[in-house]
Amino acid sequence: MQIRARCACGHLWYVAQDLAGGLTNCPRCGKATQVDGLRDPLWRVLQGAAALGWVVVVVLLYANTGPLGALLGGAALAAILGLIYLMM
Amino acid sequence: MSKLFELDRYWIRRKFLTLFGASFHVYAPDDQLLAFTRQKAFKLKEDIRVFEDEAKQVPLLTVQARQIVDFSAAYDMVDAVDGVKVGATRRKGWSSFLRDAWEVLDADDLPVASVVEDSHGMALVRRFVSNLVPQRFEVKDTNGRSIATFKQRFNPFIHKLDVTIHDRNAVDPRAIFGTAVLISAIEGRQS
Repeated sequence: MQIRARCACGHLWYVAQDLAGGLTNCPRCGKATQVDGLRDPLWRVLQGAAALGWVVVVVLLYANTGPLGALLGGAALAAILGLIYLMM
Repeated sequence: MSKLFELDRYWIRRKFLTLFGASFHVYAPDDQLLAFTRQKAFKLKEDIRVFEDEAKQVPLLTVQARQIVDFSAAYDMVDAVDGVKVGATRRKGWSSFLRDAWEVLDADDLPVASVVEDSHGMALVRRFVSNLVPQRFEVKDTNGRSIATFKQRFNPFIHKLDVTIHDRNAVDPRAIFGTAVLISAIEGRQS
């Protein structure tokens, strides 16, 4: 399986899966380019767990505090998860 | 190219007190500062930046992990001056359990050298008896010829690593340096 890489110069090509999440040199301009993807299974499990956790928290907040609590709590949790994602 | 990548000998010193992340100074044999390295804090993916000095105005090299958690973690190295990937270093997952082992890859991800802890016996002593025993790594090309040595100095508090390059033409010296910094950052953190 191959993974997409897109350089800032506009060139699009495919690289080996080993390079997922890493860097490779663009065949056109030669500059280091980010390769898409985080392939490790743990990362997918973490993503799934975060999504499931968010849904559970929102449902619990809705049941206990009503729609406003669910909205605010859900937004706050989404912001925290977004921050964690940005740190990666 | 920075003077750092033209020298055959230099040493890396881990800064003792750093609030977040980790910092390293790179010195020439005459103790002249060659580079300052900063390991970013709060990053789930390892991110190490090398600068000319502590002012961090002139970047020299970046070392970035490909994955957040990876058994055989690979780290790409990019020359910050021209933005070109110079190589990568990959930890040998299973081999590193009892004895640290890495492999150095070229820009096309092909293995060009291996980095192995000096001996099984010493590696076991470091793991199960005392991690105060300094580490020593041999960098060998694909023919088994020694091209560089990383030797940790005995110091229970501050991690210091002497780097000696025997053959400058075998592997890009920037990749050798990046590997030495990685070993200081990652192996140093384990001890």
